[in-house]
Amino acid sequence: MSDRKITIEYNDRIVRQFLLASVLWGAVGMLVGVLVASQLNFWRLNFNLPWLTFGRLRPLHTNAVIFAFVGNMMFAGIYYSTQRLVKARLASNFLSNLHFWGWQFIIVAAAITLPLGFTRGKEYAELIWPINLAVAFIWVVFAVNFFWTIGRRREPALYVAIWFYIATIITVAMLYIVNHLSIPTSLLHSYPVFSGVQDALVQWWYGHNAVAFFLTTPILGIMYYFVPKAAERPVYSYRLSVVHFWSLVFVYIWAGPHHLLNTALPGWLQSLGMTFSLMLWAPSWGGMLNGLLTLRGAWHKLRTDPVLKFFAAGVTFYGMATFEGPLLSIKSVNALGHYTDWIIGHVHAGTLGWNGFMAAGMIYWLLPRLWSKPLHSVSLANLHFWIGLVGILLYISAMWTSGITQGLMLNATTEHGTVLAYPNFLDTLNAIRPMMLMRVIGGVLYLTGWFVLAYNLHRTIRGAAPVNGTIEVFEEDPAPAGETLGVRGTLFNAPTLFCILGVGFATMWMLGTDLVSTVGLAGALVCFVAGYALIHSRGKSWSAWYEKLLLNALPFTVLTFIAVAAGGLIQIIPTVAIQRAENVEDRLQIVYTPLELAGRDIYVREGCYNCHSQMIRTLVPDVLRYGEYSRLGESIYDHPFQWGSKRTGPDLARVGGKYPNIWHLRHLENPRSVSVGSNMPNYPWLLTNDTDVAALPAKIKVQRMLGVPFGPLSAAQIFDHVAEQSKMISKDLRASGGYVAPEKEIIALTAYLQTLGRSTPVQPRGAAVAAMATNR
Amino acid sequence: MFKHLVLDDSVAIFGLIAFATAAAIFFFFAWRALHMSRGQIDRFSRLPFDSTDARHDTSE
Repeated sequence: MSDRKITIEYNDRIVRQFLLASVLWGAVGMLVGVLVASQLNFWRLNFNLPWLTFGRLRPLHTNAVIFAFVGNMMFAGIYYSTQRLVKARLASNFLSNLHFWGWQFIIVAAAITLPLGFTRGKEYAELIWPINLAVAFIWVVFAVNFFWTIGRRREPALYVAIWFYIATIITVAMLYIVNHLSIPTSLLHSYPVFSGVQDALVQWWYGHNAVAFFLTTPILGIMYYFVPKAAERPVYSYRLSVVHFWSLVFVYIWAGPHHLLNTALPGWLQSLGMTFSLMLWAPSWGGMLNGLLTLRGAWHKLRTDPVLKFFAAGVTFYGMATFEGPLLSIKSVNALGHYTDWIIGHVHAGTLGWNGFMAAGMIYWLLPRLWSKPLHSVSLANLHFWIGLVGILLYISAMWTSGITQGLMLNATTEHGTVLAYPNFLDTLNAIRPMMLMRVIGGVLYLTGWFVLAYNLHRTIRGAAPVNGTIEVFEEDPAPAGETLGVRGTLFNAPTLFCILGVGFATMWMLGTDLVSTVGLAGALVCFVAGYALIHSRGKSWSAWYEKLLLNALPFTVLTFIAVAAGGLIQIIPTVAIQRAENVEDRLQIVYTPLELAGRDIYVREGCYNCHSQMIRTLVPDVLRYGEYSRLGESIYDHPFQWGSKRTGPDLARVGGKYPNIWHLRHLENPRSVSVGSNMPNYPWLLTNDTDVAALPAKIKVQRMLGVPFGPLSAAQIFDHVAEQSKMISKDLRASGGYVAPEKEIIALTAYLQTLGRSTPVQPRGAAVAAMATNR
Repeated sequence: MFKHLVLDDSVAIFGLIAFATAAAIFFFFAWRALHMSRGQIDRFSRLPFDSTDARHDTSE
């Protein structure tokens, strides 16, 4: 062992960069949020401009606050804490800088492309495919930088915060790649490889776990480092943090289907999603209690220390949101809350309360340490806390009231449950207008608090010299032998093998038939019994293996990946079978005509799915209001699916044929001309822009590649078909007093809207079962 | 393949099995955590405060 000491300087420059970027993009993202919220009360704030409509700006808001604000904050916190926990400087300055500038480039690209209407049409996954590639590349850069630093660590033990960072990195990679699998039709457009119910499942497997592994786990890691540091006492229970981590990462992944309750998603998947969402309450609260109780003995400091105020409130909001989430995942509660503002309230309790306040606490704690100058004003930081807190409470109470009001009104029936009490959707919108305005006020207050932070930051760092943390270490020695696990130790050991075999056999039983299913059941039982017996006889060697695992980053990572991948595989792969014409219930979607496909892409471009759903749930009020419940087969060819997640406007699943073409023309031109009191924006450019017919051959080629049964149409045939159908619609409009040239976008969009709800009857499932039984 | 899922109503049992599996994992890690030694717990929980070079830490 060497006795010579050297001083390692941490790379805190990158931490400062990410921190400043987080403050900037937080302000931008929240400002856009306030704008879009205001648009819902004051439609004129859409300014009749295509790039400022709610449908195009809402994705900008969500992407900005998730990836730009929380993303930058997360990287700052991870890089600061990891270096200190592993007692090593970040492995590569180049990778660190590439990570930072690459991420900012992605954000700017998103800010340009989303308002221009370049979108994939999937929530929190709207960015076009070239930007997806950039995200994947930069994420790999981040991962390499992070794991390389871990590999050079001087502290053999991996603190629990590192576990959360590891889970974040690998799970986000898995989720992002799968949900962004697309086939490009051009440089700026693509279709996802999934469609219909499978796309819905993949989307919400991704969407919910983006919340889990982008908005929760890295911030939990940050909580486990920064809360003890700020409170100057260790975490309340390290044992609890171990249980918290493993139960969270395993359970969270399965919760995606709770976004699709009472829809055409198969019942067993809905039940799985609901069950796991309810189970998720336990580990989430374990983490919350661990964070809050870390403050034991330091509660008096909350009175004066803004950092602890933010952390305590942030963790409390985490607890609140993670109680509300499982509650909303109960099917009967979801029947009331889904598609309403209650979901928005739940989301913002988490984002404003948990993410926003943890960010603020971390920033206030880091500022004096990164610039070696006291915080400019503790009073301003406290003021920020109170303004922000009032803002959050106004926001979420407004949304709870709005959501429950809307849900109750939409579900209300009269005449012994046979007639809707509020048949006009606009009645519910008018009822919640005051609450939507209160939400805007809450958001403005929260944003004001953020501006206070930005001012405080500016005054603190003005004239201050940035400073990097250091640590004295002994000169590099060879790594101690005998602790590494290697591939054999990671995978070919009793605990791992039993788990893999057990899950494998159980899956065979679940998904197979006849012999495969029987073998699966037998194998699963054998694994269970043998595993139980072996734990008793060889418990010590299993324990020794687990202790080594905690010191080996790569094996730990591999096994965490297996834990998070299991849920996705078991939920998603079977939908491959469901996604077939012979397995649909009794209706099969009719393939779009080329003009209807063009209209559909306009619908996606304008972000109509942000306000309109296309999924009539298996609930009486939905059926009374919109017609027959939506079958799985009716969206089987939709790349991407359009089931939607919010009803600011009515469901459109069966709007086809409900209104004449002239109604759609007037409605899109000025919604208030046919729906008095509507808050939908005007879309005048649809009457002046030409439909992009030239792009259709490439689009249809990709659709055919993805299995949509378009006929083998040549480009000329496509153009002829479009011309013929659009002339028909234009002629019909002229007869009703509407004058629009056939080549305009509004013709295509009208064609698409008029097709919604059209399907071919197919043999119902019962008859198919009987036929299969006869053929066995 | 997957005919059980598409055609059988008995698939409800898979939710129960999944719950049992998750419960087993939870109890396993809870058992592991409860059997961690006090020394190990103290060492890990103090990591954010530890500024010594662990390779040369002869205190254990």
